[in-house]
Amino acid sequence: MKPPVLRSPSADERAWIAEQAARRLSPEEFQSYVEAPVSEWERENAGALITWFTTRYKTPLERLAYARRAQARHSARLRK
Amino acid sequence: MEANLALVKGSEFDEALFFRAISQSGLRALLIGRRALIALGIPVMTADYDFWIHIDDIERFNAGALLFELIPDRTPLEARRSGRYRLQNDELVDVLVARSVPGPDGPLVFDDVWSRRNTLTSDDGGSNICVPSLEDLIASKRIGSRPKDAEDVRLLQQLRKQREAL
Repeated sequence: MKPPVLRSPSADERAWIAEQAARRLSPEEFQSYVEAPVSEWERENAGALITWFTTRYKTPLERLAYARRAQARHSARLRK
Repeated sequence: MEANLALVKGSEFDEALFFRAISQSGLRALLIGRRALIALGIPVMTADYDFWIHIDDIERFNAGALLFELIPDRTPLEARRSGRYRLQNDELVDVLVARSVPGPDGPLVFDDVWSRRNTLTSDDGGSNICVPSLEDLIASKRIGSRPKDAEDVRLLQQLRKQREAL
């Protein structure tokens, strides 16, 4: 299956995304996000991801190298 | 075909050699931020590197980084004054050099965080990566307070639970 080709966001969209991503949450907002109940789906999904990652890439250097390749693939898709 | 490969390929930056050089230099350098999560086993995306180094190790860290053509954007004196600086080429390395950073639960002090660090070892034996303890990583994320920091805390808590269950 071909990976999806993502549309590159406009300059305005980029600015909005960057602003949202860099926004500092108040201590209350942060705490409520962190303490929100973990759903069964989230627990299983996150657990499976960590298990897959640490089993497939056993050393920290292998994990870092994988993340670097994944980031390069992601950036390449955005450039298209 | 070659053009496509060039798009997918990362830069010529030799990440493994970079970490080996840090490891073998004896520098007090902690990998923090999302790369630390990745090294610990959480697959998240990030484009840059974040380190927290001892304030007395700036010159040696820069000398090692120069071998990878990473250039500091501030002099060591300026970095000491501001508490942080960047190393750059087509890679970006954010370097925190403050002795301590204020947090919601009190200051996070480099010497304390360093004393509680986790050393992650690789099979090659020469590339140990030092990261803060899980508790200190979570505390550092609380200082960031961005939405992605909150997501990272949830993932770190999940990692801690998985480890406790083993």
